[in-house]
Amino acid sequence: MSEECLLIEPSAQKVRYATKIWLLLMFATVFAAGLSFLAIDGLLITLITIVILIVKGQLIVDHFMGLRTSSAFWRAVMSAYCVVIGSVVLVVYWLGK
Amino acid sequence: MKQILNAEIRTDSLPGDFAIWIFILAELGVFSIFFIAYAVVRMLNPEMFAEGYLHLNRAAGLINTLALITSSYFVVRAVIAIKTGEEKRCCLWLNWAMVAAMVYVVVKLWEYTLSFQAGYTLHTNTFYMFYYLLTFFHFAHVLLGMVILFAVARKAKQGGYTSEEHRGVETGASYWHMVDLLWIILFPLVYVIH
Repeated sequence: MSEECLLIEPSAQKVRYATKIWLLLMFATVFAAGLSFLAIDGLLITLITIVILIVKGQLIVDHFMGLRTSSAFWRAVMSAYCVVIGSVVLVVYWLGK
Repeated sequence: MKQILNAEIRTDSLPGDFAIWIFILAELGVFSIFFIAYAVVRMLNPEMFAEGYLHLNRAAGLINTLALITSSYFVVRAVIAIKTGEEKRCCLWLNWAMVAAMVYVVVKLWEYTLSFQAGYTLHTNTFYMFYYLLTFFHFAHVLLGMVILFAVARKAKQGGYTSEEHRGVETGASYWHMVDLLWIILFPLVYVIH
């Protein structure tokens, strides 16, 4: 078994790691919500919001759903979902400007 | 050596039952139709959606997002607990997850109440039709998720899961994280992008 296939994560480390991911998600959410109050061009806000959406989605897929250490296929499917939906929303928004 | 003993091996196995992942895939497919339809209809009716957006309760949307993320985090803690054989702690974290989910339910009902009192209903216009359908469809999934979490917590309390056999906890957790993931997309789509 190759060394990269082993992830050293005792439960205490898992708890600390999950807590950091949770705090990151909370911060990203408040930041994204704050954007809606700024008087910036709509397309720029949309772009930033979609990037945040994709990053948050990836964090949930990898660290909350636990797909980072399991099926590569399902991880790809779930990750692609956020990217595809986010991209479609961005393109549709851009077309409407 | 100690590190190797504590290691988690990367496998092709999924957390929870395979059936729940097929269900999750189907749910994501249905929601994707809603998301794309919402974006397209907004493109076709920019003034109506801009007007509707101004009357949305963005604070409620933010509180609900924070509540669902926190609830998902508590479920992660429950899975970690059961993997180390702590059934009672697992049950405790699942209960906290349901409390956070209840915050979402209360805030969402409060949001609906204010909206109805202001005279905005499903029939007001296309924006409100989408707003109510999309958010209520997700709301129904949260309620179903709470029922699943309750059933898993009850079984955990009765000692139905162990550090070796806890597929049921992972199955419930996977569904709950999907509910969270869908809201992560819905929140910016409805409450942030304008």
